[in-house]
Amino acid sequence: MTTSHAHIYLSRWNSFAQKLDIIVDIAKTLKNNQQAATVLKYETAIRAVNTFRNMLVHGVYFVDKGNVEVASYLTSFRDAKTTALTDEIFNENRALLRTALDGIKAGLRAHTGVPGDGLRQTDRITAPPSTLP
Amino acid sequence: MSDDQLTKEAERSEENLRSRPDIAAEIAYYIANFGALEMMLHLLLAQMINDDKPRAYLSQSLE
Repeated sequence: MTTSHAHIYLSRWNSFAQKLDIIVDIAKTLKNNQQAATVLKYETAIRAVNTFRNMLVHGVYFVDKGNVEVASYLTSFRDAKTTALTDEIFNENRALLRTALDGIKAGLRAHTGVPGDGLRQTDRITAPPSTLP
Repeated sequence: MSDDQLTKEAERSEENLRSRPDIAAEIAYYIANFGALEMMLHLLLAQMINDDKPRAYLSQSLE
């Protein structure tokens, strides 16, 4: 029996959000696929994690009397949005990150590691009939 | 407030993130773990579509 393989290259010039859009679109086309189900289940959490990460990476930090604030803005609006970096904010977002990481790890472990396993889990793609005697 | 004004405002302050190494560590921790999440998501995609060359995603992420 032959097993077909697919390849996708996600350009690093695209943002993470754009790449996630592509991954989610692919996941939506696959039925009974454990990994696709994992992506769809944790999509909201992953997007929230990405939003917070973008704020940390692209924001401007203000420190006043030990209090830290980060100013970020949407380029289309230009209005800065300031967020105080408190323990609560970090705890909340760390929990979200942990949820997403654990979910994806569980999805990865669900794979048996056997070549072709991904296809066998998928209804949409069916193996050609065997021609062996 | 424009980008330049925001940056100048931040630079004028006598305090900066070095005054709060605990917050700086939290920021670094979050960004680093996000990198791990992105890499694992690429691996999940590779499994999802049965890609037998997931290293392509890894090398892309680590560049």
